[in-house]
Amino acid sequence: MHPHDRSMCPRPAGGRGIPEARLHLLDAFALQAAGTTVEMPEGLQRLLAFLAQHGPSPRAVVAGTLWPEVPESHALASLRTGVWRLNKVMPGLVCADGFQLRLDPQLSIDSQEQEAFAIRLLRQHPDDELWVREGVSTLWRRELLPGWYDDWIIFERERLCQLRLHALEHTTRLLVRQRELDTALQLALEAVRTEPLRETATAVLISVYLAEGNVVDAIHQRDVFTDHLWRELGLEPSPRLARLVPRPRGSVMRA
Amino acid sequence: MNDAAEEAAGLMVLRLWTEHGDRIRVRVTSSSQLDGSDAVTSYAATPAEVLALVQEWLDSFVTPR
Repeated sequence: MHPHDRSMCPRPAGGRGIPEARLHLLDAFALQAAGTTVEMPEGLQRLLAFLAQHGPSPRAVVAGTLWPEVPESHALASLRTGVWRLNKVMPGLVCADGFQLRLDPQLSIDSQEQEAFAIRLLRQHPDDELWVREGVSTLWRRELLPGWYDDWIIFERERLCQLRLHALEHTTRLLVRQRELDTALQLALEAVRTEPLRETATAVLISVYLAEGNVVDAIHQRDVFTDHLWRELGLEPSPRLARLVPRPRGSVMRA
Repeated sequence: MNDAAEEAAGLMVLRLWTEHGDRIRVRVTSSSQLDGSDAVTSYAATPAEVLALVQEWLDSFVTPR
């Protein structure tokens, strides 16, 4: 029987799970254990990142995705080597569970935390709950594995980006209602930075400025968005945005 | 017989969202390098505009006959 065909999670000495380990996939790859960065070659980083993003995965899927240009037997052999090397770096990190591979659930992963917060926020529509304040910090980190161009990473990156954008807008609206305007402003600016042509992002930023009483900033932001939309697409903003900040008397709409 | 010609590769990412009134917006980021080093971002508001951007990108790889 192949060693990886048993339910098996190699344990570090003493039988305890992995040390306080945290995997960063947002903004840059980093694996940290007990506060120290664990160095590893790029191939192991890709394997670890894949398992972190996809959760428990059949070996064949992992092998086929990460080594698409070699025969399956070679890909599986490369995968076995990769798993072995990861567990040498950090015993217990990767568990073989039948035909699936998974990471030790004690490993905390920043992209998972951001996604979980965003999904919960968008499903529950909270009004004022402690977990929202605690979860906001997950939104500051921006992009999944920047500079990595594997197909599966590109899709995941875009998916998370959209989710984060929705969460930024949603949290901003919540914080405006709670009059926590400093944080609301930072979140709204981040939403506009992420997608400057998204009208709802601009709308929430304008709402923050208006809540602060900064009408001039609100007008300026509307004008910036209007100009950008016109330059890129030759379009005007929707009437909803226009109603947020009425135009001064004497101003002329484009034909 | 094929010479060992350099293999062309490229990347295009389309990100779509809808605005009020079911109007689509598509952000199109395209590159002729797999590392994305020459990435260019454009926007489209109609399917025809999206297709035009895709066609233009494809044409950059296809040698005219």
